[in-house]
Parts: sequence; C-alpha cells; structure tokens
Amino acid sequence: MKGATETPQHTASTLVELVERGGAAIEGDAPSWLRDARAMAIERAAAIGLPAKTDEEWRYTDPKPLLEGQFSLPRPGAHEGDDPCEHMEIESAARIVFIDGRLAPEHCRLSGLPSGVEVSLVGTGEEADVEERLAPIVAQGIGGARDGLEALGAGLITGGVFVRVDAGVTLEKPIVVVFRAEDGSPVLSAPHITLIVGEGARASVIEDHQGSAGATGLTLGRSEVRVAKGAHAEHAMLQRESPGRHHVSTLRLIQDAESHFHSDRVLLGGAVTRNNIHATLQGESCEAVFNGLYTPEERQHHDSHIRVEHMAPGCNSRQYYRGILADRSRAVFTGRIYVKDVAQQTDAIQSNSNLLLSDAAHAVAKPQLEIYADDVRCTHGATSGQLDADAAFYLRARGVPERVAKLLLLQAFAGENIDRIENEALRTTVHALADDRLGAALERNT
Amino acid sequence: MHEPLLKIEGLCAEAGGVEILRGLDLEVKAGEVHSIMGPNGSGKSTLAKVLAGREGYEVTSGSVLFKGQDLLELEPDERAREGVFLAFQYPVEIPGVSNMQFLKESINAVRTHRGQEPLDTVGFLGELREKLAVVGMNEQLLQRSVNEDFSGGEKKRYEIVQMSLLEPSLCVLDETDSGLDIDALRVVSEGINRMRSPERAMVLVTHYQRLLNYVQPDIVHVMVGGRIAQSGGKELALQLEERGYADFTGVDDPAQQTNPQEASA
Repeated sequence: MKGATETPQHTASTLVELVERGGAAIEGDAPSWLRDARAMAIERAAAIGLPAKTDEEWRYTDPKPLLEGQFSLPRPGAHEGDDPCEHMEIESAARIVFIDGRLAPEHCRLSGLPSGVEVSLVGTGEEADVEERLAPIVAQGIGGARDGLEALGAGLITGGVFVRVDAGVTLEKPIVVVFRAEDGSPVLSAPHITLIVGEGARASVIEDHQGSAGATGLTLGRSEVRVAKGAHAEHAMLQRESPGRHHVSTLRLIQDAESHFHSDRVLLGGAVTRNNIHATLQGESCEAVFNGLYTPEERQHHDSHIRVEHMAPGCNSRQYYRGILADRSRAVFTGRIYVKDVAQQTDAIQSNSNLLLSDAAHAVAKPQLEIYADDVRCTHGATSGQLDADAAFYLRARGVPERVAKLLLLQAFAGENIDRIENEALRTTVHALADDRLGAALERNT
Repeated sequence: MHEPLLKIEGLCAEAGGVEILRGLDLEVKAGEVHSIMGPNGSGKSTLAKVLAGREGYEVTSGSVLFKGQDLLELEPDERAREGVFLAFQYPVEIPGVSNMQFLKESINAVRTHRGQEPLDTVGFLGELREKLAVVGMNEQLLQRSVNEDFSGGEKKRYEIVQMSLLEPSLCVLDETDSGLDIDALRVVSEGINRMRSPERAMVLVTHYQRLLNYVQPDIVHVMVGGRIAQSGGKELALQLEERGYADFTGVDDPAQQTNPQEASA
C-alpha cells in the first residue's frame, strides 16, 4: 500500500478552482493515459463552462453545492480492512468494491468469468492494458459533454470497471459494482463504468452507490454503454448514498440496430442528485426502456434529466419515471424525445408521475418532444398529485387502518416501477428499502 | 324491547356548504332489513356515506348511535372494525393493490379487533372460496388489482363477497342494484339474503323497487328532502313503483328533484 501523505491532488478544492487551475492541477501516480484524460476533461470543462443556475438545463437544480463545495480526491492506494458495505443477496458474475474511491481488492471477486468476457479494473494502478480500448470511449465522452460538469464526470476517473462481452456470448449473471462512501471528510470520487456488449451478446451491470450515515463529498459518476447489433444489455443503478453526499451520474448509451437495452435507476439517497441519461438509438429497430424511481425526503433534491435520440427508423423507447416526495424535498424530471427526420416509425413513450406526501414538497416535470419525422408515435404524460382519497377511504371502509391503507397505496404506486426492475435480487432489495422509507415518510407526513 | 342497533336522531349534514340531510330520524334493530327509497337528490347516498365516515360530509347536528356508542366519533376504519359495512355504489379501482393483499389486510384488521386470531393464507383462502362461490366468482381474482378491470356486475358481486367475509352487524348497501342485469341482480340478492340473520341489520338504499322483489324488506322508508317522509311495510315500495315519488315531491319527474351535490357525489 502506498503512503497516505498529503500531496497537492489530495488537498481539498472546489471544482471551480480545479477547472481554473487547469489540467496540470492533478498530479500523482496515475498512468499516463489517465492523466491525459483528466487534463482533457478539465480543459473541456474550462472551454464549455461549468453549469450555472441561469442555464436552461439547470433551471430547477442549483449546481452551486456541487461546484463550490470543497472536495478532495481519494488518497492513493487500495482500501484495506473490513468490508463495511451493505450487500444485496445477489448472484453475480463478478463483484468489485470501491470504498471512498479506492479499490478494496480483498472484497472483490473477479475469477471464474466465462471466456469471451473481460472485466478489467480502471484507474486503480492494477489495470493491465485496458487503456487502448477505453481511452477512445473516454475521449468521446469528454468531447460530447454538454456542460463542464459532465466533462469532468466523463474524464476525471478515480476508479472504475471496464466490461466487454464478445459477440454471441451470454453472461447470465450481472457484474455488480459497489461504490461505498465511508469517510466523513468530503471525498470526490469519479467512478467510471464501461459496458460493451458485442453483436448478439447479452450482459448486465448493476451499480450500487451507498454510504455510511456520516459520509460527505461528491460522486461524479459516468457509465458508458455500447450495445452492438442484436445485443441485449441491462444497466441498473441503485443510488442509496448518505444524505450528506452529492451525487451526479451520467449514463451515456449508444445502441446499434436491433439491440435491446434496459435501464433501472433508483434514487433514494444523496443531498443534491442529478441523474443524467443521454441515449442515442443509432441503428434501426432498437428497443430501450428507461425505468426510474425517486423518493426524496427531508431536504433532498432528485433531478433526472433524460434525453433519448431516435436517429434511425423503427426504434421503440420508453421512459417510465415515478417519484414519491416527502417533507420539503424537491424533484425534477426533464425528459426529451428527439426524433431525427429519417427516424420514421419511431414509437416513443414518456411518462412521469409524482406523489406528494407533503404540501412543502415540490415536483417539476418538463416533458419535451423534438420531432423532425412525420410518421411517428410519440406520447408523453406527466402527473403530480396527492394520494387518491377515494382509494384510501375504500380501504379504510373495510377496516384497514389509515396508515396501512396509505402505505398500501404508496407501495402500489412505487411498485409499478419497482416491479419493472429486471434483476430479481435488486427488485427485492428495492422493494424492502422503499417499504421502510415510505413507512417512515408516512409517519412524518401525516 | 332490544336497544336498536342503529339510532339516528335529528341528523343534519352538509357537503360543500349545501345542506343535504335535514333532521333525519331512523331506528334499525338487529335482524331487520330496512329499505330507504327516494328520488335522486333526496339524500339517500349521503346518509350511507355519513354512516361510513366519508370525508367531505359534515354533520352539523343530530346524533348517530351504533350499539349504543357515538358512531360519529369514530374514524372510518374504526367503524368498519366495529361492524359497519358500506357496500359502495361505485366501488373504487385501486391499481397495484392486489385483492389478496386487500382482503387479507381487511379481514385480519377486523378479526384482530374482535379478539380473533389473524388468518394465515390457508385459513384465509378457505374462508374466501366459499364466499366467492356464492356470487359465482373464483380466486383467480386474488392476483388482480382491487376492482381493476372488473365489470360493473363484478364490482357489485365483489362488494357482497367482502361483506360476507367481514361479517358486519350493520350492512348499508348503497344502490347495490344499480347497473346490474337481471341475472347479476339475482346473484347479488342471493348473497344478501344469505347474510340475513337475527344479529345483523341491513339498510338497502335504492332508487328502484326491483331489488326488493328479491330481498324482502321488513320496513320501507321514503326519503325526501333529507328526511324520512313516510315509513311502512313492503307494500309502500309497490305503491312507489306504481305511482313514483310524485305524492311526496309534488313533481311528476323525480329527476327534476336532483340535488347537484348528491348527483355528483
């Protein structure tokens, strides 16, 4: 293990200062391709600018706490000691654990993968030759970033995993990656996941972001998913970070023809959360499902920002996002469906519903359609309201106590999206987490 | 003489600032079946909702005693556990809550209140199968959501299933005959008749006489303008069937009497 002495890169600074100081600001022992990527990300962020509340895309989420909070990068070296993570009872093909941005090698399991499946570690000092496959994807992510924060997320990379499944190979069990924040001092971790699924292949990755009660700092995550012709890919993210930690993560998806993709994103924790999805359906006849649930409470802020681009004919996309808001929480849903002129026979649905448990909670829904083809079916619907009083009365009129009646209705509302989660173990975990959370929220919000 | 199961005195209630019940008196004894008939807007359904404790209906004066206790003090779920059952005119669809979950929560809340052991799944299914069979339903519905995609007739039959499962001491049936074809009406009536017992009372709120061909009431009340205008035996229902409510309202077409609050409720 390397020493934990303070070097310039581990001194706390804000993202604004980091960008102002420029690419040379991050030194250390990272491999050269990664140092280049970080420098490129910082330069790109400087060029296009960090987001401001005056930007249309950040109108309902003030980026200030993300940009002006003091964060330090993870100390070098691996994490040693116990595994403090909460693990799902899940059968995984491989498990990788990061704690406070550092790999925890003792708690990882990478052996026994079928042939045709590569799982490589990134940015941990232990990687082999992943750079030549990963560097172009990272560069593409930085180049395509729409604001400086996204550029930083695409290129800072404090650690991560590169998964590649060869054409025709089926990986039945998911790769599970756990990112755990333990440290009470504000750590900036930039986890980077890549999932490349070859032609006709099948694979899934589950990210579990979690933290101890007192953890602070910022997660700036990036997930790059490429789905080749006729392939099936699933990506799930469970965000159960500490209430004091901010979380920004971007899923960048590119799909080839006749491929299938399914995304589950569950936002439970965090202080300010920004959940970005940028999907490009570039081949014909793709299918993509974006399933999401958020349950902010207290003063949490959960913002989901989804852009689905139909670039070729005959693709289906579905956005299903639901939220239950308690206390003084805030939620934002912005979903854009973009249909290029050649993307005839596009079938796109977007639906967002919010349940407000308190008068002080506030939800914003901004559905956006941008359609340049004429033979398409695109629908969007957004609703926001309280629990159905008629339904609650009906249950109570049958003797069901008020709190149980309301909990049943909340579970039913959330359950529609939880039941859509592809992985059964994750689904069971989310059901249990949501039940506890909603039960407690009802206690406070009556 | 027994103390009445339900004793309503001088009940006045309003909804949305409009007075609907205007000094209603009613006594129902255990074992009796009462029918409350009346034109649209007379306050029949409001009475049913007030008894069940629906929000939005405010009792401004009067009293309701159920088994000697003040019913109006109780929350809707407490009333149900105490033995008041309202069969809804429009049973509510609840997507995502399965009938299995719903019925188990319901029966076990009532059983626990009565000091009985909660039923496990096997015991519950045993109880339920029998009740379902009476109205020609089967347990496949357990996996479906409450009332979701039920036909009008199924919803009404399902109300009877719930009623027989919970074994209430006072059954208030709000327009349970509305929207039923003749076969469904027969099935539902059979379910109601099976529930008649010396310990149980029923109040059938209905606009038409036809339910009463199948369920014979002991006492028929005519409700007009938020109070009971006349009470009598079942011959009163036949008289209403022949002559309408004009004798009570002074208007030939009962629809003219529609109170907008009631109609939309």
